[in-house]
Amino acid sequence: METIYPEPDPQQAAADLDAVADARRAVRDRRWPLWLYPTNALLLGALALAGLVDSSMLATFILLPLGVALARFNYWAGRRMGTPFAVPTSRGFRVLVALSGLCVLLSVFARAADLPWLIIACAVAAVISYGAGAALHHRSTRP
Amino acid sequence: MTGRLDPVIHPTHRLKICAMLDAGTTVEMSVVKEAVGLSASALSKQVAALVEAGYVRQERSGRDSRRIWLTLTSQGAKAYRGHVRALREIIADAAHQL
Repeated sequence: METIYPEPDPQQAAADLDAVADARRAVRDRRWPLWLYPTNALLLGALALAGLVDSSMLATFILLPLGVALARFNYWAGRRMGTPFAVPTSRGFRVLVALSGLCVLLSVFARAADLPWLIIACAVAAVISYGAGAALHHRSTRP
Repeated sequence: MTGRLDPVIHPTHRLKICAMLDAGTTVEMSVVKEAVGLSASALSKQVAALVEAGYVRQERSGRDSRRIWLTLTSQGAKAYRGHVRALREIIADAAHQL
């Protein structure tokens, strides 16, 4: 049977909420293995560059394994760290990763518009954006 | 919406465990142990209480049976969020009375 606990006073409630915040950070801000940052950046860049391939069929065959590799590497690294689904707290990192994803998406439109220079620019921007986010994330998880 | 203090989650160690699982969805026991700072047997007791209440699901890894994965159930997530809301209300009420 559970013990009946008295209602916490405001100081105790504040201490409990601090403990909650610390516990959440302990999960979300774990250090990532260093190899994961360049791997993700290169895979995102490669995804954007797939638009340079002439044949749509071939581009799909390149895109699919790259996308799967991106997801699998991150999940595998997360499993090894013990937190496969934790989203980092660093807002800068999240914004820059989203920006990197947008660049990859934009490269699809650049392919449709037949603008190879824009595809290359998107790939470079995706890598740079992810790289900057990676630096922020690495710094935010420093002990 | 008003919160509700939950007697199962009330002890700080259990509250921390629930907070970690809410933040990470599925978290390995060793990560929880490292953050909560309890011995393996003490942590097992706290987790067992949460599992018994139906708040946490515990699974062994298929490939490595030494690794134990913890997940907050929907019932656990509801109880945890209600508890946190109740704590915030206690602080808000105290601030209001000043």
